[in-house]
Amino acid sequence: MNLDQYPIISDLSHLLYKFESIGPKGIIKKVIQYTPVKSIGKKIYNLSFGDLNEINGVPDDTIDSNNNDTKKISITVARSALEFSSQFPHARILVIGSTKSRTRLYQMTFRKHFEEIDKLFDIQGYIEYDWRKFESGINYEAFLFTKKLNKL
Amino acid sequence: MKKNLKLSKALKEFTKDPILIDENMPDYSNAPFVLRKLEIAEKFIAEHGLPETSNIKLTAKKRKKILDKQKAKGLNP
Repeated sequence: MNLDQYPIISDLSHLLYKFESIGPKGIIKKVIQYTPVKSIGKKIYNLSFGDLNEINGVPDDTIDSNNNDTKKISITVARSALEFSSQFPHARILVIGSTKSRTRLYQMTFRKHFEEIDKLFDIQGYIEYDWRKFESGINYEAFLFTKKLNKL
Repeated sequence: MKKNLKLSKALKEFTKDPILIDENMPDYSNAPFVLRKLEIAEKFIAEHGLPETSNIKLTAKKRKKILDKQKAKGLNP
């Protein structure tokens, strides 16, 4: 199992993580932010992930940087989720892509690493007006991760 | 048992490098992309709600219906 990942740096709150993607397009700074969904209290955190624009210093999730390291990036984001969950064990992580293709990319990543993820998190996917246990082969609209408390 | 040991070893390997802390990291919690994603999340939850804690699987009938529909759309060929 190749779980090669980029080194991650967190802020003091453990809600913000950054790392650098290294590939043919050079070094691209990435930001992962976990934000509480205020309307329902601090139980659900939304995951935002994007590139840091070097010019204005603002992160953006609409850029397709395509630095030939999707797998390594996915594993790095998973590592941040693991760290976040160890700091906030009762929080659930909501993942919705900003576009359908991005949601599909997340879906493919979760499917690929389902065996490992499933040991640590319960994953639920939203489909056909309902939340259900994540299963390979189904295309979901959103994902919710709940840490299995005894595993970390 | 063997599988769990393998996973436990992999998890140990996965988390072996500590995550460093930067006390001076800028605050991106109000960055436009974060707020936009949050808005999507808020809207999604308002429209569709959240799951109960139970982890219910799709019924075989519903799974087939969804797969047929997604196949017709060119997904999951």
